[in-house]
Amino acid sequence: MRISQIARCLYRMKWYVFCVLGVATLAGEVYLRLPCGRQLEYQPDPDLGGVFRPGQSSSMVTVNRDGHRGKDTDWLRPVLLAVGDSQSWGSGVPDADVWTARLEDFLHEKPDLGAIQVVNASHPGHGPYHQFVRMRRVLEAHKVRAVLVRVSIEDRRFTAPRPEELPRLVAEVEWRQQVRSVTKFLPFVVNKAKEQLPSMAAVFGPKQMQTTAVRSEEAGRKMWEEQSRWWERMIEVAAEHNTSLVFCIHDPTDLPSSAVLAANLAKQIEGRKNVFLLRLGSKAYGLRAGNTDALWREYRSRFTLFHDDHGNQAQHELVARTLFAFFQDKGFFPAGQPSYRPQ
Amino acid sequence: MLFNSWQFVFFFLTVYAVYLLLPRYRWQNVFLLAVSYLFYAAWDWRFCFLMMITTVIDYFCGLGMGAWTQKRTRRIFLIISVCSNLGVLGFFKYYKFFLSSLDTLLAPTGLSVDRLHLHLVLPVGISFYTFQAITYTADVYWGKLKPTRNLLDFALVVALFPQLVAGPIERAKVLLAQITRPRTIDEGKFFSGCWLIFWGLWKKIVLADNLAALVDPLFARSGSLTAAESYLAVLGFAFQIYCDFSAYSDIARGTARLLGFELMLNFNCPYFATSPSDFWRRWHISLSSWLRDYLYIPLGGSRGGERKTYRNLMLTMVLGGLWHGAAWNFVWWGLYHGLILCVWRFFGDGRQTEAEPSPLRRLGAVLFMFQFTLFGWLLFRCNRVLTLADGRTRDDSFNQIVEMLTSFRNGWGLTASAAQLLGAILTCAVPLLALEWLALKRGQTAGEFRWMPRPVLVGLASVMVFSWLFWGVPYAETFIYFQF
Repeated sequence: MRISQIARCLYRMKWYVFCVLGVATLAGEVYLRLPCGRQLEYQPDPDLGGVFRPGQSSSMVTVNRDGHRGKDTDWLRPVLLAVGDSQSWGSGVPDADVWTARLEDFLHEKPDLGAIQVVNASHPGHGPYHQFVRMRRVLEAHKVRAVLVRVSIEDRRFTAPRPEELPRLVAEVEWRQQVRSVTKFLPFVVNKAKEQLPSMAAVFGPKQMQTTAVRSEEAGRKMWEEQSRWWERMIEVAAEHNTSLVFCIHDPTDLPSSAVLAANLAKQIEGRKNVFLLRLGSKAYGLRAGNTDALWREYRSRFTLFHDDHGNQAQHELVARTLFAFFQDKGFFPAGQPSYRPQ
Repeated sequence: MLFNSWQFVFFFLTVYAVYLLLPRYRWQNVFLLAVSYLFYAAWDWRFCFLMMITTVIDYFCGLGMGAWTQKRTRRIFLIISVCSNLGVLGFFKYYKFFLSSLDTLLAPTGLSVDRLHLHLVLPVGISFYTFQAITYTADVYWGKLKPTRNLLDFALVVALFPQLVAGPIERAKVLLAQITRPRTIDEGKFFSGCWLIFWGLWKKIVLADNLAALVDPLFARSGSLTAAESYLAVLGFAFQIYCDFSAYSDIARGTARLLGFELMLNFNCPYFATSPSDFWRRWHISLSSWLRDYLYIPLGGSRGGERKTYRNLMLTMVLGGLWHGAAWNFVWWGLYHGLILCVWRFFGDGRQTEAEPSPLRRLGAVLFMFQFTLFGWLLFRCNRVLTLADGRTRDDSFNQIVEMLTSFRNGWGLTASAAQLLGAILTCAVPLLALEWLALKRGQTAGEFRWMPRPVLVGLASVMVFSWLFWGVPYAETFIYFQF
């Protein structure tokens, strides 16, 4: 059979192919409008480009009226604010299992802490700059007792957009909104195709080098150079609003790059009142000693979703418990007095 | 290079384009041999040399058997070939298992064979291509096949990439006949090959990988499962392994068909089996027929009286179990299937006086046999390994099996995750079984589309595309049988 014959065969089958794609498209459009298939929508944001539209929900996720994950916040009650990336947001995990919800459950077990709310202002794709913006907005509008900031070498790619880039990012979100008002299936398929681009590129690229690059001290130094000013500004804003700040470094495989971040952050917060650093390393995760690859394999099998590197329920539970223990250890909640600063 | 990876997509599109441009089948053979070794080198280039060496040994043994007529001399060549193939298989696959078992045995005496441990990597596909090579020398020995004088042709029999890594274990006689003549690819073969690949990829990416996500966490906490959860975990695994392995076979057959080769059917609705022997005529047909023709029958088969027949059955099934992996759970699985085959044979092997069982009786037999199959999968899947304080590992599969069998102690109810698995099984398994049953009634398999009316085919393809987009696992996961 020649290639030209194959082309003729495929051309003869075109109506079958169109029918199949047509039926699949129709089914997709219907499904994406049902509650079980709904995808979260974005809205433009002048400082961040695009964020989840407030007041929507999908099968597993609720975005409240403030644009945060979970149920609506009663700002008159005491609040702990969490900012972070998709891991902190809880991608792939239902609302009730996200670490912020679990931490709230643990706090509510204490008799004096029943009123506390742990607000999840994290967002997928957000790095230190975006987290700083979200944190500042909340602190300027509401009283917050403590802010929990997720720090991870994985966020090195989420750099602050240049001011001249923001109008373009906003325009992109607006364009996507317009497209989604007509068709929900097409953007879904485009996103699915984009998801595959790294895998396709990896066929031709040096994948192994990418893996080792993120582990190196150089990667940690580079991230510190690019992003540390946002952590500094978080410290300043927290001090302005008399709010405690906890930097939580997620480093389950004890990477040299994360060690650099931790060392630099520790120096940065030295002598600062009400600013704390907590590192979740392999010991905190209960991983057995071994080289980085062995630690990664064990972490991957025990603490991440099956087909995804995002944390599973076990990881969220562990993070919540660790933070709860940290708060108790630092005297954040002495008995009889709901206080959010250590005594 | 996994079939469900972009690497393979680019590889095959390139190979196919060049393959179709080559005017002569001899040039196509040389080209296929080169790309097959390239395909294998993508896993680990070092083991290409291993495959080359065993190929050359088998080739010259075949020539030797052709040149010498004395039975004794021919037997020596056969022994050299079988020993070289089983030797490399045994060394790479079973050396560590043998030492660990010896360690466990010697532990009470305080002796240890720790110093003899080697860090060995199991060459991918070794269990498959060594068995395939043995079919060549064995058939030459028995006079069923004339030895080939073309080393490249024989090398292609061993290394043909669609079935190199996880079967089907094709007979050298069948492959050689296709390699040594021009191959035609007509429109029918082209479309059926494409459909088989699409069907296989869908079973792997949508069904098997999603079931794995739900089944594996249950097996990981086997000690705390309730009875319902244990049963569902095994049921889920039964469909996971079927979808996973049959998917690979379908993709292999589809790919080979696009190249003009016909590989044997490896699965024929195995969960519709009505007896243990019927199950093995439907599950992993290439392996079960290999074991029958190259192990069971040479051992004597059923010709030496009842006791010898049972011995041969048990030996064949235990070795068949061991073929799957160097671990005790595979031995128990093989033993179990040997046992039920023997028991089935003892009770008359289903010899019936009536011409055809009634549908109700047949359904009863299918459901009854399926429960036995599920128990076998429990033994197969329980492969827990404990890491001791001193860093050594210990096989804990027996304890895991006991935990699952006594899970009623934890209660009988369903948790949310198990209910989710039940939903997934009903969503995946029921339509798949229904399709297979419809195909079976028409004497076809679900992987062939010609028996389907066109509207049904369009509807099915639409459902497959839709489910692939929404529930297809985005990352390439390995196939279960690659570990064997």
